[in-house]
Amino acid sequence: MFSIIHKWHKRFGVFVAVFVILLVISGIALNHSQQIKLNTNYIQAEWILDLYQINPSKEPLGFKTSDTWVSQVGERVYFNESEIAKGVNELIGSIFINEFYVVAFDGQLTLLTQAGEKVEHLTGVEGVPAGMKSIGYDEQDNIIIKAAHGFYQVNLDVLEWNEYDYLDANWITASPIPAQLKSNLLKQYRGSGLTIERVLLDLHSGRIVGSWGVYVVDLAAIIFLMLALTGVWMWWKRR
Amino acid sequence: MFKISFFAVFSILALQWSTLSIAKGVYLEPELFIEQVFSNNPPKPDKVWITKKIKADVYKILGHDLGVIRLRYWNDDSKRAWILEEIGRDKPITVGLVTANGKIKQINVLIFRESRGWEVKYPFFTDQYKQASLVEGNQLDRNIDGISGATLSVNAMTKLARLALYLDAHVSKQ
Repeated sequence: MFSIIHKWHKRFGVFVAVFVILLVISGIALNHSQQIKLNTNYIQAEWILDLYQINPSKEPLGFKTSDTWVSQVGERVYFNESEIAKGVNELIGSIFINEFYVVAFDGQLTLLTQAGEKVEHLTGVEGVPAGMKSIGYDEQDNIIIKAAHGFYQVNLDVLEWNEYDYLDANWITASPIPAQLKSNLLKQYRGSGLTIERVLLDLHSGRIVGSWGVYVVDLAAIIFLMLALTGVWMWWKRR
Repeated sequence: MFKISFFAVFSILALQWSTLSIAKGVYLEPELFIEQVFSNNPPKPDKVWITKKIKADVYKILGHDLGVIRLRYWNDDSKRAWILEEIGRDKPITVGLVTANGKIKQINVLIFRESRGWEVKYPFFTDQYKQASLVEGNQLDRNIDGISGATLSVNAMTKLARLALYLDAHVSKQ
């Protein structure tokens, strides 16, 4: 009996050694995730990004304004190639007026300087109308917004939102993004979509290879338990 | 016995699930916060420009740039209201603050997006900031007791309290 258990204890020990190494390294790293910035550093390896299918759910959308492009890739918005917002559902449009770029999305307006520096971010609390549908400008270079409940002529300096039943404007419409810019944006989007922490968590749980990976790690854990029990038992017998 | 144990385990799991499901979300719309602070008659927002000097001080308070070069706030004769954001662990926490005479009058978590640390919304925690003011080095004049498991959210709240008081002092000088 003792020799059989001893033999299987050694065999299982060798079998699970690779799991021990994997779980120990990933576990220690995850314990210090914040300090070693695993939650703010992103995976760049294409094959891992492909494994996780890190791609925007819909075709990138772009608005050409003056000499710049404001684009939406997935839930992120970019000013040329700089990310200016994340968690965005719908980019409405962008205009250049009074020395500022005004980018409209999800009931919010972001103002940027010509260099792309963020001036401020306005939401409903500052008066941005709900249900924005379009942004444009009139003959006098006023910002015009078409929203769910009407049309608004906007003065962003003093935050005046004058409501009208109808206003005519030059409405901004989306344009096809140049191929090179689109390729760069997609690369940037993928390269900022998957943290090292996420991959380590999935590696630790086995989920990285799908749901069956979790059962493999479960099996390894049960073997750890058996090794501990048989190890103690053998030590007790030899004592 | 088995039935009682099963019921107990099920209840604990249900409680855990419901606690997690209420943990993050919009606790109070920023618009409603401003309306409540100014008794349904909010003033038009004013703006403060983030100059080089302010930018440097804000960096010392937050540990990073504010990310914008002007901020809006609401001001009547007796108090100022601020809506500020700071990242706890991964996502921003939106906080409403009211300052008056260089002191924190009110602080409310408005939107919490993280899955942990939401306990900072409770009055037992936020009450610690009431009447807090700034001392040398733009630090609060008191220690804020932390919450186990919510350290990063607590830090974010304290940073925003310091930021609101700093901006309040700057606006008062103008």
